Amino acid sequence: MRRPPQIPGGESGRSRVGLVAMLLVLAGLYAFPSFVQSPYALHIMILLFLGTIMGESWNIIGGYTGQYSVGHAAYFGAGAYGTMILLQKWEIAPWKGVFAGIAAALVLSLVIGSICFRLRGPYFVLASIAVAEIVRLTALNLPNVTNGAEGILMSDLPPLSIGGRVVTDFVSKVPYYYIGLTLALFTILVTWLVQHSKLGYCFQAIREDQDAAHSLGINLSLYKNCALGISATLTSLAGSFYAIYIKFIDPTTVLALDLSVQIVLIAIIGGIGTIFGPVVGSLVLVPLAEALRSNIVAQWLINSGLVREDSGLGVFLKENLAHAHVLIYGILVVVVILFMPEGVLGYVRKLSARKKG
Amino acid sequence: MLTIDRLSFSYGDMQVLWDIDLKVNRGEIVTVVGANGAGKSTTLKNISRLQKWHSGTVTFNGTDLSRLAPHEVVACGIIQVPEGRKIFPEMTVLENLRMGSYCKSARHDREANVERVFSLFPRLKERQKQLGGTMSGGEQQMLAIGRGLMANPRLLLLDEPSLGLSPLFVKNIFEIITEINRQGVTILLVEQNVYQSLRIAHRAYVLETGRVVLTGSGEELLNDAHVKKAFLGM
Amino acid sequence: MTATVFLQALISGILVGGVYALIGIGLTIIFGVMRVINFAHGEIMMVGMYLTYFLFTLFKVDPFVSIVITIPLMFLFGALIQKVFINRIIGALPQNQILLTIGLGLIMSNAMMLAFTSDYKILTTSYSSGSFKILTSIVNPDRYEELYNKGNALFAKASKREGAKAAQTYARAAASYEAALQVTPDQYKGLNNWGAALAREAMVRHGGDAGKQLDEAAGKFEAALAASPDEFEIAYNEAITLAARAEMASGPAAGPLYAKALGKLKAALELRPDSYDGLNALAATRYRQAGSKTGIDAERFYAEAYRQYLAAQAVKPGAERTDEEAALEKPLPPPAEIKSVLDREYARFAPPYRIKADKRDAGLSVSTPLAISFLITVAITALLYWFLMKTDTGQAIRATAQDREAAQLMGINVNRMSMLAFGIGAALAGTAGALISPTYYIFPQVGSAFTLKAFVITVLGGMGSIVGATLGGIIIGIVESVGAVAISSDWKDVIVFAIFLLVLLVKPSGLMGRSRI
Repeated sequence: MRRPPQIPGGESGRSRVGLVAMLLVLAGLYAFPSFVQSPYALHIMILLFLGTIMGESWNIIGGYTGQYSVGHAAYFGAGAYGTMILLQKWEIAPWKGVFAGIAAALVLSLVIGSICFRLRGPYFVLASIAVAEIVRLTALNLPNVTNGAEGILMSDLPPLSIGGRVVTDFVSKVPYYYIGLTLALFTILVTWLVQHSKLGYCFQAIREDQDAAHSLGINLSLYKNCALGISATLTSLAGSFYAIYIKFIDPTTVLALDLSVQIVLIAIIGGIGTIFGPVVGSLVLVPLAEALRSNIVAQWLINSGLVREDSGLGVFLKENLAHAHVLIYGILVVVVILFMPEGVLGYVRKLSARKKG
Repeated sequence: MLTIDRLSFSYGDMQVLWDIDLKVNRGEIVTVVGANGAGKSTTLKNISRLQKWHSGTVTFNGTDLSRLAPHEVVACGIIQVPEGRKIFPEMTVLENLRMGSYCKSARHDREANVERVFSLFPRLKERQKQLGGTMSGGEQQMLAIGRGLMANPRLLLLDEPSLGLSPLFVKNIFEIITEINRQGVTILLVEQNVYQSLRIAHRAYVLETGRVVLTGSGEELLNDAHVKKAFLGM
Repeated sequence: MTATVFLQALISGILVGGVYALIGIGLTIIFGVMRVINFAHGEIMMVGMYLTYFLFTLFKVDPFVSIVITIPLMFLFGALIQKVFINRIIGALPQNQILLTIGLGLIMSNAMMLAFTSDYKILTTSYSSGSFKILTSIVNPDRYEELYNKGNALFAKASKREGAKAAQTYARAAASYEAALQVTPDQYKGLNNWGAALAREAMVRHGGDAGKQLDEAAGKFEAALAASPDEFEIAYNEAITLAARAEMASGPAAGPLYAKALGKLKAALELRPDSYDGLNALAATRYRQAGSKTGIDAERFYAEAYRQYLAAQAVKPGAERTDEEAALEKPLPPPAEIKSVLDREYARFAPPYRIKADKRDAGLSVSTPLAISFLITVAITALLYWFLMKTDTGQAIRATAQDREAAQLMGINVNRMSMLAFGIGAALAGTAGALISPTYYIFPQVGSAFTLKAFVITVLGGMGSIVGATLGGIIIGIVESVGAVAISSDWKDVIVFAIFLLVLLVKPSGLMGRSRI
């Protein structure tokens, strides 16, 4: 096996420290909105949760089972469109519509699985892209159902009420924060459960050597479809959450190849096949993208006196750096693949192991 | 001509060659025999630099090979005929041969060498337009050796030339090897066919689990009790 | 889809397919030699497009001439990418190779976007929208088009004349259309115009067997509609013919004819609801029909005709459209006033026929830039084939693709061959970019669609096979082009991807098998 399964803190001493640290982090995350009122900070946190959900769910099929799907936008879009269409056309509340999204993603994953899992390596990657593109083009060309290229704008979000009592009316970002946090913790929990179950061992056996796994009596197509199903379900949750939070979806934002690549990047940059890799990945990618997008970086360069605001370079940076986040993604991928093929988490582990050894 | 001194090599954490010492003199046929996995092919691949050893030295006519890339080793005149023949399947017999004289030093002798190979293997001349991948195992072996000769080799490394051939072909191949040697090419031969290869060898080495355990003239080893017991079933 | 339309689509498909083949061959050579799937291939092509664009706008270099600069520059660009990035991951996990090249693609497209914005750029040459005709004698052997054009000319002449002269000229036009249709039947434009000529002649002559001739004309329109059902003009022409026929019939026989004419007009107006001619004819026909009624029926019909008249006035060319709804909501004037208005408007109403007057030449239309690019493609492919089959370096590249280890034992520097192969692949992609730049939008994100297309092409033909990539390119070009006319251009990419999946499932080794270059 390439990497022994990571049980957080193998030794009892370390495990106690780890447990305390984890509880502290959880408490901090729970209390965060009471201390920080800035909607922008909450927005960043929500994006971090979203990134984590996407990365973790891809990790189950890509990281643990070794099937590099570059078509996960299809499931994300299924969740987003499923929820949105039900809400806009039949006024079905999103927390019910989510399940329609999941159902759509599951059906899609079965179709995709039955087509693509016969293929291996690069052929699988290409097939997953092709299927996702078919889904995108179909959404684009069926305006009666999906509103086509115009996309769907959410007009009104009904308040969430349980037993007649209104829990929240979604005016502030706080409810989204807690939904995102819950979903992110849920996907991490699912990943942990997968890793520590027989299912997870079968997944990893398939990743290490499909033929060997097959000869051990592991039903390849069953387990691969199972992994894809779990992954698709979680990804569609991310899609539904995105749709409810952003309130607007169209094929270019929720079904495009770019999104599929971004989902893979979160896991790859953090470190695939580990529980916290995608968390690290979204901790690296999301703030970076946001910093560039909101021009913090350009402003910082100017304020620090490195670049003069009225100089040609200053103007250029202010105007363009906001669009540069995808460029930075590209550079990050190249650097990660060339210099830390195990991801940031794996690289840090290797460095610390080297220090100890 | 070729001197291997304390050569050690590992695949990852698994060491497969342990301090190999081996010498080939000009004009000789030197045979390395040993069981499967003894490290014979690995030794050859290290000489041709397809594998990179981690300690020891290999020198050829005074040139240190340790910093060379495989194609530069070829330019020195060491030509390996690989195990499994490795014919270019989508090229014709003639194209395969011409590929053999790709290195600059052999290009101007190309036409003459083609004739020389054809006279050694008339079968190849008949089949010169056929695709390499469509030929029988024996024909492919002829082609592989012929392709090696195209480069004007000073030292020819032959890796299991008799593997997978019919007994008639096997005898034929060893006759041809002797004939090539008689034409002035030094030969380092790695074989599992211990009897035949020792018979034609001037000197020979026995390799066991990555170590040289025995060395001597071909005849001496043929009559050695250990060799007889281990390889010849006597 | 008629045979001509199909042939037309086939030709443009083959021409575009040539460029696709070039992209596919580049990808297949890179894959063959390095076993690396280059996900940045479309982006490399995009760089070639920009290079061509700037050579054209800054230095006035013709895009087709510019390939002599583009090819070496793109070769160096590719060789550099190979040396710096790709060479480090040869033999790594395929997924890592894929991600690395995806990353490189992202860098290229987004760097371009930063440098030149994401605006669409258009490279317009004097021949960008030019075209010429081929197969003029084969596709229309008896010159349908000539007779058709002659009919149109006569029709135009007749409509300027009056009386017997007009009738004569209409008759000649009709004869010309008839002759054309004997050559190539079922041409809806010809049928429509024939019907119009017959009807006009009958109307001008007015007498004898005019009624019968109007029936014949209506039959022509009916046939034209069968060939092309969604044509407003044809339905409209048939309706006014039926109305004229009804007027001629008078008495009880007129009733169903008016009803039929009104039905046709309404169907036509569904296709184009704001047609002034259509609405006007509707009002006129209703008015005539009212004339054959009495009492309260007549009054109701006049009222309706009046409303339709108002609707027609609202969309009349040059009329102010804002008062359309106000006019319709106003209470109707008294019946006598209605009748006088309608009498004034429609007593002498002869609705104009709509003929299809566009000039059509025989043969298949070929886009000039596509034709030139196809020729260049053929030349480059042939040159490349010669290079790979006949030169030592080309053979060494093939040898590296077929057996990397054996190639090293031949004294081939496989790293150099990999660099060469990537350089050639990039040069081919860049050339393809240069060749399509006169006919395609140039923008930073254009590459990804072509990357996907390149995969479809190479997988279709068989990964690593040059002949396969050539075939695959042409096939995908044809599928796109024919698919766009046969089904819809919105779905053509879906068709391409569906074929791709089908090939992956049924014959993953592609058409030419997993043969190597």
